[in-house]
Amino acid sequence: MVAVNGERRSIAKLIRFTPSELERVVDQAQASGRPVACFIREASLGSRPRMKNGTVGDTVIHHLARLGTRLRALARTAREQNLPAAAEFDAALAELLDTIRQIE
Amino acid sequence: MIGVSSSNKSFRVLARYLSEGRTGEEQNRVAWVASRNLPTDDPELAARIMRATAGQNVRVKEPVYHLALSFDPGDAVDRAAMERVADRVLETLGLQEHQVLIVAHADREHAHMHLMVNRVHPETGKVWSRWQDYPAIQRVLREEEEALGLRRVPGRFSERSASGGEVTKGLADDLQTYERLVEVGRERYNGELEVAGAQARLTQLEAAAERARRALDTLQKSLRAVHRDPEHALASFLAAAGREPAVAVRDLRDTPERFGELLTPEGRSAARAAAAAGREVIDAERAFRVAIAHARNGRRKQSGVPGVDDSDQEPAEAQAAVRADLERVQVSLRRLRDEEQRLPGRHLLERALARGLWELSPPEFNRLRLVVTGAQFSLARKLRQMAQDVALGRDDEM
Repeated sequence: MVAVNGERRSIAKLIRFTPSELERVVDQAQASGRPVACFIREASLGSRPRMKNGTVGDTVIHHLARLGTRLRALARTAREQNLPAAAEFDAALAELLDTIRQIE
Repeated sequence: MIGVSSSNKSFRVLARYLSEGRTGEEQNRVAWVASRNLPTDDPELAARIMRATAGQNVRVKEPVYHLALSFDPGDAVDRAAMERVADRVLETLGLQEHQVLIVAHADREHAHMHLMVNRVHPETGKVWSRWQDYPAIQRVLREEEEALGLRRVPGRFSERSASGGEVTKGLADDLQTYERLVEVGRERYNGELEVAGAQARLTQLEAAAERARRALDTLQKSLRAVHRDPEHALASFLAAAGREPAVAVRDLRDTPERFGELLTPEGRSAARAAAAAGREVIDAERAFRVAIAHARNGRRKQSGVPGVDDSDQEPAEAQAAVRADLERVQVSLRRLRDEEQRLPGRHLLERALARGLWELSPPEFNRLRLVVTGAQFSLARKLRQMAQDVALGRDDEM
């Protein structure tokens, strides 16, 4: 448990939200790159949690990388089995990696 | 085989180190690169992707798990064998679904590879915990040594565990010796500083004493050309200089008869040279007093010897005191050097200890705390960290 100014955060407090309120809070917490509880505490104590750098770009890269990993596995299998689509898989993978490189 | 693991914050820094080295100029160090659950083998791009994946978990502070696996120089292993070991370790640790970049280096005599692992799972976003990773790694390495016919390295899960207590005791003895070596080194350094200081003080005192003696000789010679009784004139001048130096010098130049009967009326012209010599005597005396004060302060500062009031201390006493200091420190230095020669070489012992401590498992290392002092355990921690840093080939920033 993290100690703040010598105090531990030992008290838990239940908060009720409507579903739509909670959705907005969760979205904002994710956008700021913080856990929901951490975001609520910081916001309620008066600070304005900053947006985490590159969060959107990171999410895009993460999803592209997942696709790329599968594509690479397909390309490898195609090469090993001398399938005619092997070259196309390789080309698609190269294009995907170029796209990732261009994302800031 | 030896396995060392650590957690880091930056994929980028580690990837750069793995491909370019600490200086950024070690271009030919990479033997081959492979990856698991990544779309590329390019270290820079892989690091970017791993960072993006780690970013999906907002809680993780150190998403990088760095694992260095080294083979014995005598082990003839090819890429396939190395990848097999890497995969077995990853599987045992439960990291087979995580993103991993494997970089094998060819810059050392022994084959070794680094695994840069993303602790954040690419699908679930959960963070892998390294708790108890060391025993698992050691177990796999021992099994793989057996399976691949490689040299067995003493470790927790080999024959060494049977004599674990003896190893710990041996390390504790070595730590005690090492601690004494560090102390002796420190004392010798301080002693050498003290000797240098005492020698400087003695040189300054001797130079000041020589200057005062020459100035007095010159004044005596000068007074012989001016006064009928030069000894009396000298005593009178010194007495007057003790009260008011500037007035005494002026009087010797302008009215030398105040210090005794003149040799000839023409002696007055020689009084100018005598006055200059008188001025030099006064300056030299002052410089000598300053040197005595420095010697007194230096003794007090360096060796804790209580200072003596310089106004009462005779020059000869001051010189004798500094010489005595010098002799005392030199004797102490000789004793330290003798002791140092009897002890094993510091660097050799340091390396042997670091290696021995590094090979201990965390519980074994903690047991060491029970048989050594706090200061010795602190030294042990530093040495173990040093060995780990060397094995990982990392610098402070990682």
